[in-house]
Amino acid sequence: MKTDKERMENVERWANFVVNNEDKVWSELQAELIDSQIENAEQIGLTKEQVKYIKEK
Amino acid sequence: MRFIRLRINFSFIGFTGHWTCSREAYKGLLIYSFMVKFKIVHNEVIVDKKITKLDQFALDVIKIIQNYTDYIIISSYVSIFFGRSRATEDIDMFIKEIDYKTFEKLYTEFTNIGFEFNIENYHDIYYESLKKGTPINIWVKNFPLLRMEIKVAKKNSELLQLNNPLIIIFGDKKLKFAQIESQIAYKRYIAKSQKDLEDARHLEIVFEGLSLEKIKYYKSLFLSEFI
Repeated sequence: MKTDKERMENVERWANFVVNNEDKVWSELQAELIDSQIENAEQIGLTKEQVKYIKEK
Repeated sequence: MRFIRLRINFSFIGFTGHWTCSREAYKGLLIYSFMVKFKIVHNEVIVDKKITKLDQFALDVIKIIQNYTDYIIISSYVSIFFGRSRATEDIDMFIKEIDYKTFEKLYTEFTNIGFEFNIENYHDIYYESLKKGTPINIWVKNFPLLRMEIKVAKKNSELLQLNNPLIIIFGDKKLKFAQIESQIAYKRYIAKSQKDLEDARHLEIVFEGLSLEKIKYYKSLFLSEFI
């Protein structure tokens, strides 16, 4: 389990990668991460009632 | 080999002039200019990045919203748009007060092209949520895991953000985001979860020339409204 400090160091490392690389380079990697999460969520196919339940939990 | 020289005009504290350089050197300069932090120039930021599915969802919703009222994107999506390595289920937006008839049209357009609202009745959404300051949710039909959460700006800080947007030039599109300083202040001093602190830190690193005075100003404004 990562500590908050370790998590923050990872955030800073990635932010510096964003700073030091062209938009197209970091955004390609970011898009892979975000799109795969959204695609997974699409496959689960939760209903709005289920989402509401999860949100309120 | 073709050798083309290019002329670059410059202006510096009243002096103007020009350099000439080869096309290759000019390309190098352009690449170097991309390899800096995001820079706000005349309240605008130019971003040339790959569009994610999250961006596309935001763009699809904004395309309709902007025909009916003013808006501003706030919170997590601001840091995600500028590179934070995480996704979100909600994109948060403030909109300007909207009258009932206009909202009816907005609702109809959204539902006609395949969006759903959290309440299936525009009368109730308008009077029971929007008018009372409760956020409403919009998503693509059958995919409620990705939502736009929309709230009418009512507090002074919300109106201030709505009236002073940061303009994002993204390809041929323009988006309106809250000022980066306001997001850092809100996340660091009001929201304060680990995720919020990380979002704030990310923005602080990737943006060049942020105003500490502005962060302090927003901090005191938010503290006066939320604490």
